[in-house]
Amino acid sequence: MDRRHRLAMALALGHTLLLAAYVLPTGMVPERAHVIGQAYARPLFHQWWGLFAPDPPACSCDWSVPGRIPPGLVRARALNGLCRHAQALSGCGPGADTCVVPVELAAWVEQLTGHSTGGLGLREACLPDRAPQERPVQADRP
Amino acid sequence: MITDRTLLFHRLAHAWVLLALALQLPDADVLWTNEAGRSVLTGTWAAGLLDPYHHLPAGGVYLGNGLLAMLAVGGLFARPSWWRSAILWWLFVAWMNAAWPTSTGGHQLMANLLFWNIGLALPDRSRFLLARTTAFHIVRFQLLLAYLATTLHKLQGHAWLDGSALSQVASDPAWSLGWLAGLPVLARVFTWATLAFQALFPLAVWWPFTRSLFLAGGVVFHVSTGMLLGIPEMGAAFLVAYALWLPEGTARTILEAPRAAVRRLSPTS
Repeated sequence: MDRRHRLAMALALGHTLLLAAYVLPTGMVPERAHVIGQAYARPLFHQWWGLFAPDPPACSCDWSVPGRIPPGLVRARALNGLCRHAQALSGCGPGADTCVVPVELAAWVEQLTGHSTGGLGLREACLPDRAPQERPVQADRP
Repeated sequence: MITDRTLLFHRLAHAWVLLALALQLPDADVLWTNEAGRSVLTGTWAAGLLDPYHHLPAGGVYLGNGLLAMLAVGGLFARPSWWRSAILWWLFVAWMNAAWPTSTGGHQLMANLLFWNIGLALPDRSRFLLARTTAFHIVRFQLLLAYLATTLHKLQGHAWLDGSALSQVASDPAWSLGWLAGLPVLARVFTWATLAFQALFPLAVWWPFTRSLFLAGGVVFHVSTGMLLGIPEMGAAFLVAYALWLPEGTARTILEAPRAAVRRLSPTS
């Protein structure tokens, strides 16, 4: 291996270590390294590898609208992604009677579901029995 | 001189962009015309540069994606060029940030791969050798990091270790795995096999025999999860990254496969 090749390998390893500080579980990376990794990776090299991890979600997530949601692979995935995003918000967490979401998120869901007349709900079914529950969604208007 | 596996990587990356565009096209009326709100770049120096549609009139995504599609088609046939690769990367990232709710880990992986593809497409001159070699190793390490990171995240929980993870996923109607919910033993085997594959991949690729075995297993794994979970872009992005781990001979065979197929089908042969 010549000098140039060794240097290339070292640069690639350095980049990968900085990415690792960003994407590995936070408990495994020193806080300072994580902050440096975040500053380095987030703008240009953002990535997230926590699909179904550490455990798959205990609750399913679905939007409920008055009517049928148009079919479509990417549309369904976007709706599920937005639903998961909503579930993780403090105003929509477990135990809340209503699900409070930002206006932009509600607008996107309404566009994707094709229903903008209100009556949007968040439906979930949690382990162990997957009993369905539904909460009304309220758009947060600051 | 550009190697066969680098050329294969370049072509597969362009084919992936076309696949991702085609999958969004049926819902483009919503996905490409509405403001999705704050992307992950908000608050970083890159927000203005890599999230331009945020500041452009609605529908600008159509124009950008038209150009993106043209560049992607061109990249399937043309000799790699760093500046075309740079424009392609920028248009792709801009689109990904505009329609971020539709993104998967596969889109994020491809954003990284397309960035380093610029380095791989630099001219064949000695002053660019360091940049090209660095980009080559970064893409290779990127794949290993993805498997390592997902394994370590999974080891933080319980479901992947006790084998119940895929049963849980199968009982969620959002994923098309309902058939697996009634087969707990099979679900357990698949759970542990997935964990073992992802944990061992970063080690297995360093020896030719295990590399071939894991690359072949990875093709089956990513094609099946991509189709079954409805995330084909995710599976396909990993397969693009596999190209730089292939032996040169295999890469050449894959590159020549379309031409060989045409020759076989042609009436004069």
